[in-house]
Amino acid sequence: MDLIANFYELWGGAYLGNFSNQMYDNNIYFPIALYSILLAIILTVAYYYVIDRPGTAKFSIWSINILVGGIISYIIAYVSANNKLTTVFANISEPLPDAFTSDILLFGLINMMWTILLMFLLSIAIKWKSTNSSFIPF
Amino acid sequence: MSKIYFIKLLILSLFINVACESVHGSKNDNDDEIKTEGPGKNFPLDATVKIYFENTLSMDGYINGNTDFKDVFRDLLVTVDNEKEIDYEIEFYLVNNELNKEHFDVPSIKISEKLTPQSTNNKGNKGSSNFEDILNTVLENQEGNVISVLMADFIYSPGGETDTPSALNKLRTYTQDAFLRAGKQNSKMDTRIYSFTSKFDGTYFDINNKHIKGVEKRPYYYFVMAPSSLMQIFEKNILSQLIKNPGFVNEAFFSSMNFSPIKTQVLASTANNGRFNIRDGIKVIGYPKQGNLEFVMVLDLSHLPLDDHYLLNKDNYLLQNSEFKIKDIGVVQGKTIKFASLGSKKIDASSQVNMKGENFTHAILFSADGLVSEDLKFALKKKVPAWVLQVDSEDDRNIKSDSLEQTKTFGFAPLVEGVAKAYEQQAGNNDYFNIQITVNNN
Repeated sequence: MDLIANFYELWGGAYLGNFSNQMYDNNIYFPIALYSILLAIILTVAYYYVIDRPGTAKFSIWSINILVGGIISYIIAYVSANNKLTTVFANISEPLPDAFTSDILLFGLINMMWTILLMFLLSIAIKWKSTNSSFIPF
Repeated sequence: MSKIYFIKLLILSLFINVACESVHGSKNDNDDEIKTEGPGKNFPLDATVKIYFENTLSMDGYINGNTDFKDVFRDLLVTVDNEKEIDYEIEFYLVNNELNKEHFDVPSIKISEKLTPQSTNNKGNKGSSNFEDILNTVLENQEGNVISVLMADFIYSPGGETDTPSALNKLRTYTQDAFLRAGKQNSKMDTRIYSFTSKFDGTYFDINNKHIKGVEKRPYYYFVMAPSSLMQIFEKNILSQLIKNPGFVNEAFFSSMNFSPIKTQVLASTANNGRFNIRDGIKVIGYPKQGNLEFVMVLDLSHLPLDDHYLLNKDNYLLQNSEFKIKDIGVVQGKTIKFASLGSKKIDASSQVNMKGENFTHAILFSADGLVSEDLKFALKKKVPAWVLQVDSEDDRNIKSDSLEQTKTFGFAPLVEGVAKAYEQQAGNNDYFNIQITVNNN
């Protein structure tokens, strides 16, 4: 749990005060990380071994694939964090603090960044046995 | 085509899963409940209340006619008689150099009416008030389910002693000895002291045994001794009623119990200065640009048998790390903390979430000047309350002309200090609780 929090908080560089405390205390980091990792694995494996056609074996298509992965993971992070924190604060009859809006946006971007990075590393790791895309991204 | 369809299906299923969990929520740390021990759960079905009246000439002024002393005594008898939770039997004693059980041939609730200087004559030597002996007598009879209530003015009479400081030291030591011996019989005996004032119509005997008339108002005290479990229920149902009397002034509590662990929570964003991560202790993320590092800790002190006068006094806390200081102490009231000096501060929403809906009664605002390098360690000390020292007198010869002296009691502090020392020695420590919070820098 601490490891996942460190990734999202960039080892203190992106520690967002109350928002980070609530994300950690309410165990919201873990499911978002899990779904994002699964998403990255599925999209990368699908690109190299399911879709795998000569027509898709292009850097531009590969880039679109990881961009789509990043956007989806951003949405996962935003929706999950917003909904769960809203529920947590509703339990004490308080609205979500205003400052959390920008914190959630930033958190989504960080999740997007890690998903894209993971998809890139997975691409390097698994591309070798792809029939048509083994030379993508390089 | 089928491969693209498969990928779409996978992505869709991921969305559905995330969305469902968002709507229904999941188990989180908020679901954990900390169970705390409730007060007054274990107490006997019946008990004996032994009420002792210091039967000396100096006490005649309190029972001469209608006095506040008699009002409180009557309240005590009636409240005990009507108590439903425990079946109390009342025993009344006159105590001096002798111990005489008395009921004046009336029901117990009428004893206060029959208590007069005349009715207490010829019951032992009223000219002697040796508190070492009186306390010994009372404590020797304190066994089992017994609550002892000693009503006295506790004015020390040095007798033939010419060296007053030495005599007072002796009083302190003998009182300590009496309570230590009582503690050996019943290690879980608590003592409560209540201070009252009453109309006084009698003779005051000063340090030189000079008879002084015309002192119209005088303090007197209830020493209540009982096993911890009985004391809890007796305090809740009986003593709490007595202190509503206008003559009540102050109270003190002595126990060998340590009440650790205390439930605490650091609030990262209420009345704070600086930025904190409060996951495992306190991690200082950012020091403030101006002023000291400050943060609030809320505590659940509901099970401590101490009043707010004691709990809100900064001097009663000992900080073992000199980097920290207590800036203010307050009471938690709903979503607000009422600090003694700073006034009301709203608990922000995030801090409320951190408190997880649990009960916290008090808040301490800590302040640190400069960088912190050690853990926060502090304790609530068992101290003789300040009011005891304020009512203590070492020379009462000018009592008739000195109105402040009329509110004091000669030799009272050494007596109470003896009680406190006995509890400290018995417990092996002098703390109501100790708290340690890990503090790190980012």
